[in-house]
Amino acid sequence: MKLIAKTSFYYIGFSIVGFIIGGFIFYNIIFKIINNRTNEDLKTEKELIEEQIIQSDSIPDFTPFFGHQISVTIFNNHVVPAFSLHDTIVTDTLTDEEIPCRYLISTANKKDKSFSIEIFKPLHETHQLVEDIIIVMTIMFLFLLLSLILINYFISRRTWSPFYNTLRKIKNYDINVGNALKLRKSNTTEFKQLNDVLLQMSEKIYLNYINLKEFTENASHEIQTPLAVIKSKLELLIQSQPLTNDQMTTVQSMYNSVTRLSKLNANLVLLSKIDNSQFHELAKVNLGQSVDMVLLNFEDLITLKKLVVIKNFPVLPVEIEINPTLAEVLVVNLISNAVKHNINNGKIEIVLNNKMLSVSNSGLPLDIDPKLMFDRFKKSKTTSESLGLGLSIVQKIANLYNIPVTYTYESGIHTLTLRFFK
Amino acid sequence: MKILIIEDEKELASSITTYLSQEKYICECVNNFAFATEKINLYDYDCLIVDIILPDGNGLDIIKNLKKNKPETGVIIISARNSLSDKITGLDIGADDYLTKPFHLSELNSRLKSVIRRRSFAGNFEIVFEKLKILPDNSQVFVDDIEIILTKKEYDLLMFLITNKCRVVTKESIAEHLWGDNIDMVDSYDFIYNHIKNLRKKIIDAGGDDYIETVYKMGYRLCNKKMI
Repeated sequence: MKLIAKTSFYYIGFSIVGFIIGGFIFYNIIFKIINNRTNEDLKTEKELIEEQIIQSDSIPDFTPFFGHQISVTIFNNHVVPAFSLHDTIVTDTLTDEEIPCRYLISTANKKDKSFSIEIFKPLHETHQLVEDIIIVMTIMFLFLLLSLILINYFISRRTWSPFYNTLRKIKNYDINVGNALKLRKSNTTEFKQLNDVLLQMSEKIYLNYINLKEFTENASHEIQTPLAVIKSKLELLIQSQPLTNDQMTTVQSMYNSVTRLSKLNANLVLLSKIDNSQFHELAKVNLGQSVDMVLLNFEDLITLKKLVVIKNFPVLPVEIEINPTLAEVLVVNLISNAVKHNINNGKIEIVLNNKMLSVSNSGLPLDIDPKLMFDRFKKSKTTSESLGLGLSIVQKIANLYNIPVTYTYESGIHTLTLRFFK
Repeated sequence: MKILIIEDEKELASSITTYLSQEKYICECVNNFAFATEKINLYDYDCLIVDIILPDGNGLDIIKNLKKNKPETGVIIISARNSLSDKITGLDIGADDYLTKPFHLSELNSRLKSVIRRRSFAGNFEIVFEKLKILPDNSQVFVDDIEIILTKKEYDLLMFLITNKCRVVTKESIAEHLWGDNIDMVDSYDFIYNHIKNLRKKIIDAGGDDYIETVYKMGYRLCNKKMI
């Protein structure tokens, strides 16, 4: 949810709650005031009537005078004085309507007269008044609320604009492009601080990134050179015949280890290069073609292990947007994995379509946890010669392009599936 | 044949020199940019082996300079940097080949020979070894003038062995030469053995001798028994 929407939402929410509570209190107060007023009026009326009764002998008709029903009864004997004032409902005999009324009854002995006065004052007019007030209040409130939201919206948009500007800049920031972050100046203290912190941070990150990049290149260079020396010296040593078989075995294992070490180094450098996203050129790569080319390279091994390769490719070429070097590395690792961990007379099945690429191979059940399979240097005991980096590289490349990789094992068939989301 | 090796790592340069000297090449070594520039301006070489990263300069500049004045000289870049863009730049400015460190000396020798062959003998070059005759430009192999038909892999293998004749060629270097560095099937050197077996058979069947000798654990050597 956007910040402006969120604040507006809170504004509306709290205002409505406030209005309901305020409205309730307001309504009660108005009602009470009007009630009191009515009571006062009735009492005054009663006193006026009493006055009239005491002064004159006759009982005049008060109803037309006050506009509502008043009845007076004169008693000959003494009565018990009483006074009551309450709400009641009177049914209009003509219209059969129920009318809420304020009802006053007073029995009194004044001078030598005993009488009782009953006054019915209909309340619908006052109720109408309250209703009108409420409606006006509601309209006022809605108008206020609307203007509040609008004001809030415009103010927020104005005050937060440096923030959104910064956000947009960070979003589009590509560390590979190498330019420093350029942020718009703001006169709001908080945003000024934010921009300063971001600038410092990005500068630091950029420097670290450059350092790391240089380190990766340097490490590769620095390690490869001594390895090249060792390798070349060993190769010369081999030529210096005659060597005994024991010496030959020693030299061979040294030579083998150096070769392994240099491959390992190359792969680790590749992994960190992917980590540093140093492969950012993209191109449309025809995956079917890549797979075919890699299979051609592996032809000898496939024949040697007597593997059957089943290809399930669509008629139209499947193309994905990927770095060409990484695409090759990805396919090589997948196929190499399927060949390496295969059994003699086994099979490899490659399914390719617009949604996925899956490589299945027959093989012995895993002796490691499938969850750890993509970790570096996790390898089964049976192929100790492998480096244990192939699948990490596959996963790293897939992650780079947000392609999920899944592994399944069912009745002797290992399957690695890459799903492309279009 | 005169070769100039421009490499700042002295030990590596000396290994290369030792290996190539046995091929009757005259090798000279320089270990920095300044000397290298001086040498190539003063003398003519058939091929240069250049390391890109030098203490006082970039090997690529040497190549650019060389190509301006003596474009006929062959160039092989050896670099610790295995990045595609470096390779492309190197080949673009006129290098003939690019090898990533650490490399096999036998591979360097093979690349060097093919560079020299391409540059010095246009079209009519043949390699003769005992009864074997190879015409690299047509990829043809003869035993006593009888042509034998080899698969591409067998031909590449034979070429690799013959360019490094009388040297032990390791299984690792053969694997890398034939399949590239993508393959790390250390456990399946059997497939090299298969190719060797077929190659031997084809040569012997055509009347040749068994020139390929298995070197215990290490690899193979193409040699005339008398020559050892």
